[in-house]
Amino acid sequence: MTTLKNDSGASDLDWVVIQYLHKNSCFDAEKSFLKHLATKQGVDVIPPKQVLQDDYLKYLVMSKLFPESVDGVRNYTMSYQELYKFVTGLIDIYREDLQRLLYPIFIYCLLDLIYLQKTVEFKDFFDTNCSLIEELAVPGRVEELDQLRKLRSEQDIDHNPVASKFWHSRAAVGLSEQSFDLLTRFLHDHKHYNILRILHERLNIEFYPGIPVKTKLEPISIEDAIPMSIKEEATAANTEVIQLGLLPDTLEDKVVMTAEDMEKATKEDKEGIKESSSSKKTKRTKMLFLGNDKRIKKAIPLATWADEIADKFKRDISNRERLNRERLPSICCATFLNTHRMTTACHMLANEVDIAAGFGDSSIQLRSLKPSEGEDDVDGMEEDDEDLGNATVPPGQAVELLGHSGPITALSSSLDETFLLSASCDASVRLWSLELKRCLVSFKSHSGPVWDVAVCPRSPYFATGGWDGTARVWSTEHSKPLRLLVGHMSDVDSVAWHPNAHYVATGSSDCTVRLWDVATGKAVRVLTGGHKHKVSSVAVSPNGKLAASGAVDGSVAVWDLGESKLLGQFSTGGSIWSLDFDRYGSMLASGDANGVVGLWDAGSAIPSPLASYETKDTPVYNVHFSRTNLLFAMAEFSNNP
Amino acid sequence: MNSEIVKSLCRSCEGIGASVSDQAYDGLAQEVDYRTREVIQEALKFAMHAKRKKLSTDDVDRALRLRGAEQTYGHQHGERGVSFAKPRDESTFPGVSFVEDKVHSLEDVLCATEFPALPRGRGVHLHWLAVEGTKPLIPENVRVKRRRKDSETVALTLEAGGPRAKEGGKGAREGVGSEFTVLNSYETNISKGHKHVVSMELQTYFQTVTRAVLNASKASEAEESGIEAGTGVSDLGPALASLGEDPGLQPLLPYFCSFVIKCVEGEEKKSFFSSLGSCGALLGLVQSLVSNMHLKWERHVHQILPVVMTLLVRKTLGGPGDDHWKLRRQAGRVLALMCTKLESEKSQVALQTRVARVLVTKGLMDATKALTSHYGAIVGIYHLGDVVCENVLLPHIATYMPCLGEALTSQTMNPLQQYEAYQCLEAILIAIGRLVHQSEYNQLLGRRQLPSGRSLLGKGGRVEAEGSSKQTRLRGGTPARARRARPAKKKLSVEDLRKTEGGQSVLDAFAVAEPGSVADKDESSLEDAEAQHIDLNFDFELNNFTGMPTFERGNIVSHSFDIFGEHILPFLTNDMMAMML
Repeated sequence: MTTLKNDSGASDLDWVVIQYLHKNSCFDAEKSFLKHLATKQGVDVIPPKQVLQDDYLKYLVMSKLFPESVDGVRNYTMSYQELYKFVTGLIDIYREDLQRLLYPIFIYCLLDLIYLQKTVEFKDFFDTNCSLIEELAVPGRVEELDQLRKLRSEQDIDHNPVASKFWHSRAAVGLSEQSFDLLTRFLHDHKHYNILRILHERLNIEFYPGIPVKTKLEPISIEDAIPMSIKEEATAANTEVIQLGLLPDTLEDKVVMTAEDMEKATKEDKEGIKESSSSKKTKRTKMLFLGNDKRIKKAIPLATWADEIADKFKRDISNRERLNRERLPSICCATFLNTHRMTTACHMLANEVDIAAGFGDSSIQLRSLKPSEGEDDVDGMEEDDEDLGNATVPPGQAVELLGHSGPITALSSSLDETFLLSASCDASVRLWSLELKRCLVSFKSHSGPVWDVAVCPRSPYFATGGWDGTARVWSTEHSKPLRLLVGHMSDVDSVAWHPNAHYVATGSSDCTVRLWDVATGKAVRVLTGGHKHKVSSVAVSPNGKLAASGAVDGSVAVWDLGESKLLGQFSTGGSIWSLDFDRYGSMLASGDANGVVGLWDAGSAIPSPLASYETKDTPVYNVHFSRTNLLFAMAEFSNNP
Repeated sequence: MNSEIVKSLCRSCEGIGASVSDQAYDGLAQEVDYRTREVIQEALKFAMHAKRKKLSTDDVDRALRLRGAEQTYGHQHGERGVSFAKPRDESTFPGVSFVEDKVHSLEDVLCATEFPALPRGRGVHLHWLAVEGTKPLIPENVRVKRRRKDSETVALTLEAGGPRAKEGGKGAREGVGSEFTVLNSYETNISKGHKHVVSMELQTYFQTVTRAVLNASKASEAEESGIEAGTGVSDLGPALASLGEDPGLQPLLPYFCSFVIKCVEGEEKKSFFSSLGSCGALLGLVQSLVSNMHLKWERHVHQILPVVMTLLVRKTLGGPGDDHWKLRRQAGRVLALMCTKLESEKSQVALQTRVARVLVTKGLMDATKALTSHYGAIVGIYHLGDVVCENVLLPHIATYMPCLGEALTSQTMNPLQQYEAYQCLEAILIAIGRLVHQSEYNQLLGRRQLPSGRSLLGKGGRVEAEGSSKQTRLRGGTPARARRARPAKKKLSVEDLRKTEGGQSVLDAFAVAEPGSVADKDESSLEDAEAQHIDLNFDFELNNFTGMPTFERGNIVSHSFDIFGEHILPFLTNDMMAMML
C-alpha cells in the first residue's frame, strides 16, 4: 500500500488527480496531465506504481475539498467527547437510537488517526475515550478494543483482524431520520466535520422516516435494546455473591405446624420436611414451606418485633392457607366507585382490614373493609372480632388525609400498623400516623416526582424510587436518605424489599430490574432481557429466592435472584400495575390495567399461568396476599375504560 | 412539527413573523419538535403513574412544571370533547387551530334554576372475585358487553320492581332495593335470565301466577265432576291479564317456559291432556305471555312452540264429548301470534314458513294421522294468514279432499269420525272461503294487488267439488237475503258476491266443478230451514262482522243438511247453532 506522502514532488491536489486518473484507467489523460505538470510547473512526477485504495482516495479528495475535516485531527478527542455528552444528554427515545452510533464512530476515529499516522493523537484519543467507550462496550468488544490498542501504523490495519474488518466494510446502522437530523445539526453547529465525515463515509445508515421506533431499535434480539453499559454492568454485578437467606428471627420459624398442615403439604415439601426432621429432630415449623436455607447474619441494624404484633402475626401464620395448583386462593375484590378514574394508588394496610387509596387530587382516603352496622362476619372475611379492635378507621366511614400537593403515586404502611407512607408527584414522601390521622413527617430529597415507596419488612427502613433515576433508602428516624441507589438509566418506577430486609429490588423505565445491597448501596444484580418496556411493578418472593417484575406492555418475568437468571415470562393484556407472591411463595398474582387478576405458578421450576379472573372493566391497581393467604384485589370502577 | 407550523405560530404572534428568516424557522421547528417530545415523554410518565392510559392536560402541566416551563392555563382536565376551531382569517394563519372557548352568558349562569346533581361520594364495594379458585356467579362478576338493548331490558326490570311489589303483596322490598342499588351504583347491565336477578317480588309473582293456572285446571275438573268450583278460577283472569301487559317479566320468561314444559312433559302428562281446563289455562298463560309486548321471545320460542303445536294437533284433547275444537282454534291463534311476535322482534327464525310446512307435511298430508290432527293443522294454517293459506293450503287441497271425502261418505265410519271429518271440511271451507272472499272483496274495491278469486280457485283445482253443492242451492236463494246485505259493510255476503260479475264467476266455478250427483231434490223442503239459518247467519254477521267470515257458515249448514241426512242433523245443527251464537 502506498503511503500518504507523495514522494513524487507534485502538489497534493495534483497527486490526487493523478491517482484518480490512474485508478480509472485514463492513462492518456494521465500522461498528458503529467506532461502538463512537467512542462508548465517543472515538476517531474513519477506515475503511481500502485493504485490507492478506494476509500483512501475518497479520503484524500475529502481532505482537499474540506481541509478542516482533516486539519481537525487534533480535535478528534474533543469532538468525540462532545458527541458523547450530547448523545447521553438527549431524551430517551433519541438517546437509545443514537447511542448505538458511538461505538462505530469511536472505532473509525481510531482508524483515521492511524491512517493519518498521528500515533500520538491516537494514543491520546484511545486513553481519554476508552473509559467512555468501555461503558458502552458489550463483553465481546472489550477484546476488540484490546486488539485496536495494538495498532501502531497503517500497515497494521490489514494485519489486525478487527481493524481490517472495520476498515474494509461500512458498519450498517438503522436510524430514524429525526435522530439523524438532530445529530447532524449538532455536528454542523459545533463544526465537528471529522465526525460528520465518518458519518457520511464510513457508516452505512439506513434511514426510516419519523421518530425512533422501539421495534426498529431492536432488530435482532431484545439484548440489543439494552444499552451496552447496562449489559456490562450486569455481567459484572451478577456474579457477586448475595445472601438471599431469610432473617434468623423470621416469625414463620416460630409457628409450629399442625398435623393438618402436614397433610396439606405437597410431595416436594414433604420430602423436605422429612429430611429436616431426620437430620435434626426439631419442631416442624411453618418455615419449612419456605425452604431450609441457612439464615443470614444481620448486616444492618433492625428492630425486633413488638410482642403483640408478633403474636398477631403468628396467629395469622398458623391460619395460613397452603396454596398450590390444586388449591387456588379466594380472591376478594374491593372496587372503588364514583372515583371517576381519579384513583392513582391503592394499598392494604398492615392490619388487613383497612385499605388506603390515593387520588389524583392529592388526597388519601382510608376506608375500612369491615361492613358497617355491626353485621358481624357477614362475609366471613374477618374471623374474629378482637382482630378488628385495632382497625384504624371506623367501619363504613372514610378518613381523608390531606397534605400532598400532587397526585399520590404509591402508598405503603408499616407492619406494626402505626404509620402509612405516601409518595407523591410533589417530590415528597409523607409519613402519616394512623392513630392521629395526621401527617408527621415530610421526607424531601428526590429531585422529581417520587414514583414508588415501600416499607421494609423490618422497621425502621423504607425505600423510594423516583423520576430522578435514583432509588433511596431511608430510615423513619432520619429526614434525609441513608443510601442513594444510583445506576438506573431512567426513572425508577417500582420498589420492593427483599424479605430479609438487606436488599431492595427496583424496576425502572430502562427495562431492567436491579437488586441493591442496602448495606453497601451497590447494585448486586442487574436483570436484563426480561422486558421491552418500562418495568411498572416488582415483587420478591417470601423465601427470597425469586423476584417477579411486570412491565407496562403486560409482560411478567420471573427471575432467579441467586443465579440472576430469567426463569419464565408470560404476557397479559394490560399494563401490570401490581404483583404479589403468596405468603409461601408458590403463587404469583398480578393485577393489570385490563381488569384481570392473573394467577401464575411460581413454585415449579418453570413458572406457568394458572388462572385468570376478569373483573368488570375495572383496572386492578393492587393485589395483596393477606397473611392468611387470602388474595385482595383493589380495583377502580370506570364508566369509560 | 415542521417549519410551516412554526411559521404560522410565529405569525400568529403579532410582530414576530416579519423579522424571522426561513432558515431560522427550520432550526426553530427542530428545536420546538424536540422540546415538545421531551414534554410529552414526561407527561406520559405522569399518566402511567396515575395508572391511566389517557394523557390529560394535568399531566402536561406537571411535565412543563418539571422542566421548569410555565404551565398552560385554561385547558382543564375533564372537559370532554375538546373542540378545535380555526381562526376566522385562515389564509393569514394557515395551519393554526386553537381550542374553542364557548361563550357562556353570565345571565344564564346566574339565573339557572336547575343545578346539576351533586356527584356521588366515593365508595368501596367488596365482592368475591373467586372462592377457592372458582368464580362465583354474582352480579359483580358477570361481564357483559355494553349493548343498548340489554340496558333497556334492565331498565324495565328495575321498573318492574314497583308493580310487582303491589301485586305480589309480600315482596321483600328492602332486599330487592338493596340489590338493585348495588347494580345501580355499578351503572352496568346484567345479562337477563340469570337466577340471581329474579327478585323476591318476581318470585312471588311467578308462584302466584303458576298457582292460579294450576288451580284453574283443577277447578275446571271440579266443575265437571259437579263439585263446587275453587277460588282459583277467579285468580286466573287477572293473572293472565297482568301477564299480557306487565313490563319487566323478561327475567321470569325462562321460568314460565320451564313451567309450561313441566306441565306438558311431566309425569302427569296424560291427565293433563285429558283435562281441557288445564290445557286451556296453560294455553291462556302462553297466549298472555306471547301477547305481552314487553317480552322478547326469540330465545324461548323453541321451548314453547312444541307445546302449542301439541295443543293444536294432538290426537285427543280433553275427555270424550269435550269441545276440544275450540281449544285447537285458540292454539291456532296463539301460534299465529307467536309468528307475528317473532317477526316484530325481527328474529332471524323464519318461524311462519317452518310451522306451515310442518303442519302440512306432518299433519294434513299424513293420512295416518287422526282427523282431529288434520283439523288442527288446517286451523293452524288458517290462522297464519291469507298468504300462507294461499301458498300452503291451497296446493294441497286437491290431494287432501278425496281423503276427506272418503271419510265423509264412507258408511263404515262411525258418526264421531264423520263428525270429525265434517269439522275438517268446515275448517277448510272457512280458510278457503276467507281467501276467496278476501280476494273478491279486494277486486270489488278495485284493488288489483291480490290475485283474483278465479285464479285462486284455478290454482286450487276442482277440489271444491265435494263442498260445492251448497252453492247451487244458494243461488236460488230468496231475494230477502239480498236485501239484508249492506254494500258498505266490510263483510260481503254471498248475495253481494253473486251480484257482481266476479262473484258470480266464483259461484260458477263451484257449480262447474260439481260432479252433478247431488240433485236439487230436497231444495224446496229445506228452503225454509235454510232461510232461517241464513238469517241467523246474517244476524251473526251483523253483530260480529269483525269476527270470522261467516257467509261460508251458511253454506256449511246447508251442506250439512244435504249430505248427512237426518241422523246427524240434529246434533250438528245444535252444535253449529251453539257455535254461531
